[in-house]
Amino acid sequence: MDKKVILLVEDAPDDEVLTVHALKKSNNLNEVVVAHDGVEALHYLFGSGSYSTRKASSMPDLILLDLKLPYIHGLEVLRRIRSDERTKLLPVVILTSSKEESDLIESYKSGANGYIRKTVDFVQFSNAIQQLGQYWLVLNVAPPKVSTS
Amino acid sequence: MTIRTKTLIVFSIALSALLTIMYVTHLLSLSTNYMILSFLAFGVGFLVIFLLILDKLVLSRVNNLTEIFIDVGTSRHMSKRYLVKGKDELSNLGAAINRMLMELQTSDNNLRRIKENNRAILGVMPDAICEFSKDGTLKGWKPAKDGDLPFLVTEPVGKKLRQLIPVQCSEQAENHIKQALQTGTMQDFQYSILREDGWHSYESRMAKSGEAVVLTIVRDITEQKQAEAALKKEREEGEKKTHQFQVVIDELESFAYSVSHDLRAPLRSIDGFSEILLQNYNDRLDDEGKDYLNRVRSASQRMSVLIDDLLNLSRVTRDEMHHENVNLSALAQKLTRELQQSQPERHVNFTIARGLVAKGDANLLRVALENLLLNAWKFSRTREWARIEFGRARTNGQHAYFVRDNGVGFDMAYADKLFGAFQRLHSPNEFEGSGIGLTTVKRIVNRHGGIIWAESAVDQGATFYFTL
Repeated sequence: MDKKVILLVEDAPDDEVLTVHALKKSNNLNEVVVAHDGVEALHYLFGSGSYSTRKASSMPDLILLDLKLPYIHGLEVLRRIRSDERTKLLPVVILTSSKEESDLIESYKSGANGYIRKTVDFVQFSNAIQQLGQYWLVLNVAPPKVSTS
Repeated sequence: MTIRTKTLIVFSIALSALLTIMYVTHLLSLSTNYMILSFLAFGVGFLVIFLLILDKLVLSRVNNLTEIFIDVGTSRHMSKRYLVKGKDELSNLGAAINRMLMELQTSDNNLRRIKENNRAILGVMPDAICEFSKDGTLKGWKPAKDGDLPFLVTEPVGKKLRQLIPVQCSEQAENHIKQALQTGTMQDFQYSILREDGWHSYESRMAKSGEAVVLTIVRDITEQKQAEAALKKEREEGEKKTHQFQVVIDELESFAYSVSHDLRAPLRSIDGFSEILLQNYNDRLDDEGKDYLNRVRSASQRMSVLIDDLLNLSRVTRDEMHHENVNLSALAQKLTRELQQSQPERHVNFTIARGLVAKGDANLLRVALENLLLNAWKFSRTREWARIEFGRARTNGQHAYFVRDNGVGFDMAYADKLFGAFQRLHSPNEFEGSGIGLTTVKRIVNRHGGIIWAESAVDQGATFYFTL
């Protein structure tokens, strides 16, 4: 089985540890890349800035995106992902503690594939993350990789 | 018979008499002298008779007419009439004059009534009334009822506008007088005079009242102006307060957002890492340690529920309302079905009244009904056969909706605490809850202009009534 890459965009260190813990529990082989803000996430995806040495042709299989991020808001990151040919088909799931209806609507409007609320109950949260990984990385047939050469 | 016919007859008789005299003189062969004497005698006699007839037929009647004219002209009494006799020219003239006098009398009466009306109107009018000539000179005036002087000088008659009111307004007033005279339309303008006790404002309405006269009604509008200014100030302050209020609401909004996002994050860490400790370090923790960690977890989850309830409460208060017809019966059916599905093993007998429709915000009314039914569901769970009822009844002299259960109820001595935030009448070990549900319901009911109250006794169930 191919090693799948998950890009986790998360600024809170605790949430990062907890999410990675849950992801590893579902499948230890998957590689989790963490970007700590919106700018870093976009650098990673487009091979710019601190990721200029990265080959932009290899895209993550799933992006888990927090909304409340420093520098560039999660929704803006999502819009840029959707407006670029190289990334527009990537599955993006919003991972947030926001319960605001407006965030939910705006996320789907901007092209999110899913919206998961981070619950306080870690058992619930851990289950959601495991099912999420199972669905997007195993069950779901991914969109064809966009050739960037 | 007309006067002309009568005259012709008289002259014909006279001519016949003359001819008869001539013929008789000729027959009797009398001397010419005798004939001349007879002519003269006849002529004198005829003249006297003719004058008598003339006086009777014409002169005395013309005299009568003249007297009437003189009388009307000097005393202006229109009641005199000419006595019409016969059907000759003078009688016709007399009748025509009578008709004319009658019409004159009618219009004179009308004129007098109009004058009296005008005098009465002017008498009751509280405003000052002025008469200005074409060049803006005050010809005469009647002061206002309250004796207020709308001019700068105490002897205004004969003065020009620029002496009567402040110079900066007088030019405008003069223009209005010209306009009123030229166009015949009413002119309206306002001016103010500064006195010792402050500004006095006047509204002046001008109308053309003759070829070169303008009638002006001057009204003291000082109080009206002050009221307008006060109202304007009040409105501005109101707007300012609304703005401040909006700022507070915006702050509250961003506060609620950060509560929903930021306060939950540390709770998630507390719960998450406790759980990881419990799982990954299970073998190194004794039972007491595990118990403590479980308590940490349940405390953080309780706090999370509290945060959610608080957010709901603030949302219920600040969300905009959209009024529509809401089918409460259908809503209650749906909510009770969901409750039954959440715990299929419970035996609950639901009685929902049909066709209850209320005007209100569908979303808020759903939250209210949900909370009340959830309470009924919760506090009747110790009953083997629970009963929950939703309906409408007349109580305390008004129609109210109600949600009734046969659950554990509560002591009415604490009823005043029922709707306060975080107030609970049962210990958390007995019944879970944050104590915000009924506060939320009360706010929703109040926002709909209604009231809510409850009736209960310990172990006798509870009924919550509300109006909308």
